[in-house]
Amino acid sequence: MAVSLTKSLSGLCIQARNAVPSTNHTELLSRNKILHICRSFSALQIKGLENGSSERLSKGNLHTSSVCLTTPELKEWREHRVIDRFYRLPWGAWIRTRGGRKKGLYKKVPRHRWQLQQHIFCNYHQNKLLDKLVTPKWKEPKYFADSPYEPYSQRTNSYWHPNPRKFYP
Amino acid sequence: MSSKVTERALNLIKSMPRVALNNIKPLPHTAFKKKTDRRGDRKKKGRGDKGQGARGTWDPLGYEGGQNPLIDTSPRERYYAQYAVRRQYPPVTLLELQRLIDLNRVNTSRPVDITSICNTGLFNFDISKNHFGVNLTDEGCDQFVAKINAEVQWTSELVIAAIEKNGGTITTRYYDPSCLAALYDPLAFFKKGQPIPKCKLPPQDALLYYSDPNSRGYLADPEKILEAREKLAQKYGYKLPDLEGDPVKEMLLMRKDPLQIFYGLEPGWIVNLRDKCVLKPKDEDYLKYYHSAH
Repeated sequence: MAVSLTKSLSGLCIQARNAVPSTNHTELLSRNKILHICRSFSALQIKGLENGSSERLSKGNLHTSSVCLTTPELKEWREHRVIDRFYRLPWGAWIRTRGGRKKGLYKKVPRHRWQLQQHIFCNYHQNKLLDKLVTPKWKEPKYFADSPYEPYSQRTNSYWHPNPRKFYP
Repeated sequence: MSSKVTERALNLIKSMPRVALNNIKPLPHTAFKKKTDRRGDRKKKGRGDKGQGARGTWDPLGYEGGQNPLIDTSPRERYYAQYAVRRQYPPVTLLELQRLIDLNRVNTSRPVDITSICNTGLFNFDISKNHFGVNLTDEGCDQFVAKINAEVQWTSELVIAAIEKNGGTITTRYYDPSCLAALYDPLAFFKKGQPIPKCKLPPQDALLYYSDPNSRGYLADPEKILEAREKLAQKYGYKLPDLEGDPVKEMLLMRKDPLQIFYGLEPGWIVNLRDKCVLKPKDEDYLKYYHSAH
């Protein structure tokens, strides 16, 4: 784990230059004359990463944010049979995968294999059922970064799911 | 003193609408109880003849009469993997940002921060829902003409290009939840009288993003960011405006220290609103803690 941390941090090249408490940023002349480094007070020196000083960069040393902050008690109740298999788009549709998409592929025609790869919508009655099976918090929109389902979170040119632009008076 | 009170009361009454049946309600003890229709309360109680309806032995939700139901036969797919831990970034489009700037709800002569967006009162995010900041999206990138120094938490290449094309700058910056709570409502935070927290470094899976010059991460090398600006200008085919002779150059180059949350205030300081002063620690241990990432 320390190795991966140093690898990811090896892109960093922050150097604290002459910590001057009063100024917010110091300008350095470069070929473009606008190179700036703004390290006013912190000694955030992660220099010497290329040498691989993994000892200094162990997770305990740096104050990074903790990732695992939940417990089963803090999590929202969920019906596992639904959450493990379906995904709710914010406008009310649920999508699922097709069965058999990984089985017996040698005997399947390429088009059949492609079809089984697709994620498909559930029908109207299935959507209603799945909405009943989950709590309201699962129906709130989720804004995961770089989610592959983000382009499908909004409808365009739909009479039943209008997507008006916000108006600010 | 009393004349002011009466004056204000009279002004209030004058501004209110005329009293009518649609804006008064009866006193609690005078409201009558609605009489329930008790015609169906004999014998079958409105439940009909026999069956599940009468006996309340409904099939469970999802049951399909013994046939293997959809919720059992569908393959499992990790749609919601790590849902309770993954970071979420509520979106703000470039179009919305432009509109806010046009309406003077956001001051472009100062850096546009998550605080300035929240201070408009039109955007909310909830830390309990794992919202880690703002995601500037590319809807309206063709109509964006403002020159700003933006600081957001997530963005895409097109947005960076749109902002830099107009002569502005953009940085992606990570804030951990306690810092974000302070940034969302700085006034409420200062009223608590707690020292300004120092911002922790991003978690491991975010470190790569925030140290990447292509995403203008705040931990990236400034030289590489300049190179990335030029490359992006070439990729999207616009001329990169020269910031050298710019009157607002200083504002555009304003950046916060990686541990700093508020401009002009360092972590560890306490802002005393009542006495209108700022308290700074002198103890070496405090200073060491607040000025280092360790």
